[in-house]
Amino acid sequence: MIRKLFKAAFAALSIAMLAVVFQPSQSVAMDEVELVIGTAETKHPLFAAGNGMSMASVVARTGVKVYNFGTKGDKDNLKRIAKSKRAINLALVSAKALKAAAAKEKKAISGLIAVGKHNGDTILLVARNAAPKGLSKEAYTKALSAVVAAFKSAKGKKFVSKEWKDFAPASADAEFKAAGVSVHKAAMM
Amino acid sequence: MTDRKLRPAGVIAAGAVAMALGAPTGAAAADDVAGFYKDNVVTAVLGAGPGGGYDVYARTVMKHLVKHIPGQPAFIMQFMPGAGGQKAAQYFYNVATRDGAKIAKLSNMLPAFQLLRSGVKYDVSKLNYIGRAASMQYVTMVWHTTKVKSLEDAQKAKSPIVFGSSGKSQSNYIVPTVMRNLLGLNVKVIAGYPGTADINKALEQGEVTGRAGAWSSWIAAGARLVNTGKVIAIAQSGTEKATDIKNGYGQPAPLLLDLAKNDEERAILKLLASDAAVGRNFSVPPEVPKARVKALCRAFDATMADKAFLEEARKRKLIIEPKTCEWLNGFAQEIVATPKPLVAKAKQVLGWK
Repeated sequence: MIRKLFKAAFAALSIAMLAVVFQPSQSVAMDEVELVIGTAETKHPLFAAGNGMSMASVVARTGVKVYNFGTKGDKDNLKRIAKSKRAINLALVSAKALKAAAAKEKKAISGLIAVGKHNGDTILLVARNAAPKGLSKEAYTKALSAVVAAFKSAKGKKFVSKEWKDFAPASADAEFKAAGVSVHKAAMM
Repeated sequence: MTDRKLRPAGVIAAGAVAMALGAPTGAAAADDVAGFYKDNVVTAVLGAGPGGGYDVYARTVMKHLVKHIPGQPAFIMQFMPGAGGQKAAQYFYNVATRDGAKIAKLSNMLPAFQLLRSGVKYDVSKLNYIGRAASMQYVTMVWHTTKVKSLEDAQKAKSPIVFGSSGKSQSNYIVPTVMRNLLGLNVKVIAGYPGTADINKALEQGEVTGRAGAWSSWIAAGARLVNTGKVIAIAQSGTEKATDIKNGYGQPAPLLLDLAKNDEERAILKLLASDAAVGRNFSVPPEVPKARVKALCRAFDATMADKAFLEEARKRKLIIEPKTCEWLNGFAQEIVATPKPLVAKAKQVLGWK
């Protein structure tokens, strides 16, 4: 009888421990990295893509979250990413707009990946060179690398494609080179 | 091997302990609301860009709110600036899913704008407010060299107080315009400044001599001017009087609402000051299942009493003056029910068509 009770207690304790271990982790950790991505007008397909990217970053559970910012489009994104204050961290820009960007804007950013095509033009994901306040350069690079990995993962692709069917993440070194923008270390990790 | 098999007694005991510890299978699964949020990511829609006061309030509240929502969902932010918050409001009301997975921090001007502006495509009375984190008490400040230290001084002032404003739909235009057109003060308004920081600069350069702004903004971005006595509070706009906002004589700055000479003026002032009371509000779209709205309302209340939230708000210098969803929904209903003739008069006061 004592043995039975001991077994039952042991089993209960094991399952209880498993329950604790596998319980959904607290959704919001205080040391989470939050990055803002400039996309497009709310009715534009790239705004929907931004929603998918935001979701993909959350489901990846890497501690890096991407927040979608409905802007006026790629030119506005380039302006906002190069600002000295309240700048965005990531931006979607067409290869054409990136080529035509001002030297100051190109200097402030680095290329990450291509995310797909819209109206025949390649849409590129670029990152601000300066790390957000309170984040070291290394931690920022790691965060960007996590974002790229999340977008390239099967789960990430599923989430973004649901919102934007033309989502096709790929390296875009040639496009960045042609635009005179360096490729970020995070894209190569 | 057989000894290690899990026997029914063990399963029952294990299940009981697991349930007691709140394992995902068990009580949570039985709860519809928890079940819905557990599998969802909540999107917080913001009618402003990142980095400003709206963003700081929204992120701080959302971080703690999700811990109190049954199912503890993750959340993401979605920034939708444009048209003074109208763009986000129209999207949220007309396009956003009505399942409770979208929560918005919309403009505090919505109830007033619904009555005062044309082309509005939302009905605030159908929106489900889940609570208010703080009021947006507007404080009218004047530059110290004007020698105006109180509203009484302003009423007697021979030269006009020149207010800087960032646009006709902004409170920094509405408040001084009401002071001039309804209360008869000697006031001028210069619109066209890009933002409050630019108006503060204009104050220091002597271009303007007054600015009406949210108290939270004065004590954050304008703290240097307030603490050094460069600007003096002469009046408050809103429905709740804050006793710690003092004029140049050390007395609580009066509420503009209390200066109404009759019921009609009081109703107009209440409509035009409703944005202060609606404040830092959070809502979900119409037609969200009632059980989810109720759960969100209670989660919001719990957040406002959460020690960790209050500590973070204190560190970020955020004013917290919570109101329940019941209070806020009631207040918004009251505002949108303002009789049409009074709305017409309010438009006349503002010079709006």
